Amino acid sequence: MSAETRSCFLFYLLLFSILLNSVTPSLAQIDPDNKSTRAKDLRAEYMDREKSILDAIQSVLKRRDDLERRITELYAERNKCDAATTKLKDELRRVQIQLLE
Amino acid sequence: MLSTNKPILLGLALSCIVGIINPTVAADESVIPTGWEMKGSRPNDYLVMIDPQQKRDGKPILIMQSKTSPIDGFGTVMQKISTEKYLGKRLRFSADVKSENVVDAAGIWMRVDAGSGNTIALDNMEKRPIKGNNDWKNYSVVLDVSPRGTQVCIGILTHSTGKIWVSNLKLEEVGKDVPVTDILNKDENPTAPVNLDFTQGTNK
Repeated sequence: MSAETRSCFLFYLLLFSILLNSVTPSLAQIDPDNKSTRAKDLRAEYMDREKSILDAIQSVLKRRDDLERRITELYAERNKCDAATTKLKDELRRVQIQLLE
Repeated sequence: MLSTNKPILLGLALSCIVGIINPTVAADESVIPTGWEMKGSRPNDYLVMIDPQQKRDGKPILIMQSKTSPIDGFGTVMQKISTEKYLGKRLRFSADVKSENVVDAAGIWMRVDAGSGNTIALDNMEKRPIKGNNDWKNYSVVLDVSPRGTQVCIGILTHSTGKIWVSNLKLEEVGKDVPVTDILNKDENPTAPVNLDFTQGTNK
């Protein structure tokens, strides 16, 4: 390698070092860690949302179960009323026949 | 003279024509057979008459049908008789009944009274009412006439709307082997003890 070539190589090496040094801080500014933080925030946000949706589903299911129970109770109540009505109607008819003169 | 009577003659002629065209005007009135009475909570809502078109086993058929709809009540054709001949006896009142579109209930009934307003035995077929459309079938009610009894009432009834044909009515004495259908003096206890060895399950 001639002296001229070597000095040229050293010059370019120096220039590359300077350029690399000037570029490195700007790469740091992009900050992959910063990206990761936002993803974590988003994940936390999604987890909160997921939890609130699951809570809402549980709440709706509980309401549904309560309504199912209430419906069953009301059906039982209605059946009791039907039975009482039938009994009273029978009694009314008996009395009406007894009233015939 | 003739000219002054013209409107009257015209009116008479029109009445005759209306009578011919619309015979239901007269057919809307019940014709109750002798010995029977029309009673009930809504007796005027039913038309009762002898079927002019058919007989059953050569005997007349009584028709009872609702005239309006709905009817919140019932009508009955009934009669009362003294218990004089029947004291201490078991009586069966039966009839052949056919039904059409009976919405609520129809049937026959019998009652034994001990003095006015004191019913001591009754069956109005409340547990086996005739409903809907049914071909001819014999139905009966059986009651004991207590020595205290003063009168027996029998009848045919329809609750709410529908039409029934009734024929071949009978009131006859029956033996004690024929079970009574009394709904007032129903003995609901079994006639013999049950499950004495506890092998026939539990109540729940």
